[in-house]
Amino acid sequence: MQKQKIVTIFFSIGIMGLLSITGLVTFFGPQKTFSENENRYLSKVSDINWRDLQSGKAQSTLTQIADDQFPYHDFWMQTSTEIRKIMGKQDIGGVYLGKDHYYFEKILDSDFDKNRYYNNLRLVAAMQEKLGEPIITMLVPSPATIYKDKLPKYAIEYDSSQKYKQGKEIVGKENWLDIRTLLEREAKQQQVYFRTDHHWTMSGAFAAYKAFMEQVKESSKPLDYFDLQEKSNTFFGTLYSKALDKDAIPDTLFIPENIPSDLQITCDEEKHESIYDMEKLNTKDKYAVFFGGNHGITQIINPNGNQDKTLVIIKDSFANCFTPMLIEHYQKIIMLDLRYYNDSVSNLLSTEKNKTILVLFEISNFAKETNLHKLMS
Amino acid sequence: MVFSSMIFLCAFLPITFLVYSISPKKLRNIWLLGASLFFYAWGEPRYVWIMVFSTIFDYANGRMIDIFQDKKPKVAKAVLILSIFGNLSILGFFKYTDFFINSINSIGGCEFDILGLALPIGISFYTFQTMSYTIDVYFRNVNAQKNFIDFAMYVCLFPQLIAGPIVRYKDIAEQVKHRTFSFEQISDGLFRFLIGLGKKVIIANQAGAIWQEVSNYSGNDRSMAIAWLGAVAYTLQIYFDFSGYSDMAIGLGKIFGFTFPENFLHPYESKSITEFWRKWHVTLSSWFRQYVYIPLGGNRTGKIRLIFNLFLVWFLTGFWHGAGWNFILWGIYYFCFLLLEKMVLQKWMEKWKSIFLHIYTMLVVLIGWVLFACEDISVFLQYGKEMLGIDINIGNTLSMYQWLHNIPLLLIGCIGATTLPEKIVKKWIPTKWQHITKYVYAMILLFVSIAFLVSGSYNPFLYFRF
Repeated sequence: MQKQKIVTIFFSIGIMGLLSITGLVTFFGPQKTFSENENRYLSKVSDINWRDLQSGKAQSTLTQIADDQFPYHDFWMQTSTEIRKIMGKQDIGGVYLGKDHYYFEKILDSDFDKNRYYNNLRLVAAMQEKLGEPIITMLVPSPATIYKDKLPKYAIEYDSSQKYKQGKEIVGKENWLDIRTLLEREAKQQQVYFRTDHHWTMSGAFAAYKAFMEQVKESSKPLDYFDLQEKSNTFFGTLYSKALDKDAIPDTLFIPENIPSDLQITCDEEKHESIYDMEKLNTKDKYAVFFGGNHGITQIINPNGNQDKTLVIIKDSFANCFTPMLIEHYQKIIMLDLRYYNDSVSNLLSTEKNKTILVLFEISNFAKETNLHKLMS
Repeated sequence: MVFSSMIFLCAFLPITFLVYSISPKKLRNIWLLGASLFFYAWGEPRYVWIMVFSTIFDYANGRMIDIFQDKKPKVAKAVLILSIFGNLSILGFFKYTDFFINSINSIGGCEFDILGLALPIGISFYTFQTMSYTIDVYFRNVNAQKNFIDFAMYVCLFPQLIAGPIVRYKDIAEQVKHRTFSFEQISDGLFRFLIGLGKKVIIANQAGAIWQEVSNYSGNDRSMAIAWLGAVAYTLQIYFDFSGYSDMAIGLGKIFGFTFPENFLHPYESKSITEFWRKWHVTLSSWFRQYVYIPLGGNRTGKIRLIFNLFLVWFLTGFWHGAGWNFILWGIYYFCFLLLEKMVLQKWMEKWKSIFLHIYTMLVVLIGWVLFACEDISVFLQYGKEMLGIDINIGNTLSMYQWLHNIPLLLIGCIGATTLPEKIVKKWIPTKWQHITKYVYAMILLFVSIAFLVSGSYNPFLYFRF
């Protein structure tokens, strides 16, 4: 009996003590300000405004601090992933844990917004009509479309063939650039998507570059020409951040070194020295090395470029590693990211002569995009 | 504040406990009252005043009934009616006004604006508690509490404030003044609390995430197999969530020296609906039995009256769970099965093999939960069609994937809902090790719960409708 009593004392003091110490470390320990995995600022003790007690705002800040500043946050996250895996889960935080250390966003038919996809295609077609010029539309397949065999057993994704068929019908087959077969072929030799990030690799983008050049009836450069250099082999991308799987192996990031010099680059009216932001290689989001991330409007002028041709790319982040290869071929490239661009697209386009227009999105991003109506502005 | 949150686990609980343990006996109730008000006001600074009003109102009513009971019984009766009327008005106004407006609008084709009031958390629980207090005082089942602090502490006591169990004043009248505080009780209470935390965070939340995901499927992603997966997941979620919350409440009560009544007695092991309702949310069923069914005459006033009494009780039980037609239907659904068992099935069921009784009971319960979950009746009918496999595929790759990867969780849930784990421990672990096994188990649960809470997965609060 005596022994039992000692156990109860240890247990009571132990649990209450542990909880108290955790609380003390959470609120009085060093405060972290930013979570790279979640890509957001964390709540910290200095954020509390005690005057907000009455409205309940201070309480929600405190609740948030207790979650955000919890000691050994990443250890607990990884532990929960491990436990879920032991319990048989093959998708965590909306991410499939694929074969060969590949991760895929879980996008089912139910998640793919067919109406918005359709409407966005209609908007592209409408702009085409309004301009009286062709617009090339290239919707990059989702990684799982190309790497079907790397999905976990029985795991499925939305049916992409139907979506491509619909796209071709609405936009017109002469302007519709379907690179699925090309990427599938390329994927047999090269890694065309990152394992831990949702973007494509330079190899994937290069295949698309070749297809695009063929479409505009120009000759493309071979891959060697661009002199790809490895810039990082410790890249853990967005999919890793969601699943936080211990078994992940980092990706390698290459950038094309041989691109024209003497460029004039403006990103949202700010001059940039280079299309690369090397500082980003030291952060979590290494893909942002290309142009330093997304900007509303990016303009690249290549004084030695081909004649006086202009390329306008209406895009998401997939274009960021694709565009460098095209600088060679154009005197001026304008990238528009409609999420951040709020001026009139029509005005901008009307001032550009001798231009080619490309719509470049990853297809599931395209189906989520709510800003394409700006095309008509 | 909710129990399954870091702010509660690592700040509120240790502080409340620490101050309580070092304060002199006299100040303990006032400290608990203060902490409880703080706990409630955390999420709803304004609505705390409704609870404060309710407390003062019924404290005064209790005192008045006590004073007039002998000399002027008519006045005492008037006060009792006032108390019941007051409590039901508060509940009715905040919980049901919009429901009535919506119903009138849809039936009569009117266009009255709804109030859009957020339901004060726990209002269904504390109004029932204070109401039972004045009724018990009136019928002399318990003495009126003269000390306001003690009474207020009982009403606002944070462990049972939000989601039960419904603790009648009678149950803990003694403990309000005299209760013990010992390591044995603390460790028992903590153990119980951690069991509840594990139920909620490890099983209920994961099962809830399945239900949530499956509910959002549309088109070809749906199938009969998916509909069943969703229903099973929801059935587990609601049990582990609700009973987990009760376990946490009972455990916390024990830490501070209270013994709250049990609320869930392994209901999914039942062999009939009658048995199910003796084991599910026990404090609610016994509240309705005590304060509605028996006063109406119960089963002693003839068959027709009995049916009416049963109907009323189950209509109210359904309606209590939420202001919506599906909850009312859900109550009536159980009325039908209970009546059927009472009148017809009882004799036959004795002869059935127990496995069939289990299957029958769980099927009724499972379909009941689907009705409970679908706020729109047409959604329920559609869901029912899918479960029967009408106009839909039996299964597809997606349902294969979902079943395959969720079976371990569902199995843990199904086994955990029964008394099997307890029996295994009793049979296979030597008595002298049982004690220590229990605590090691609780610590593992805490470890896993924290991992799941930190990973910020799905952690819903189901009681906002109650």
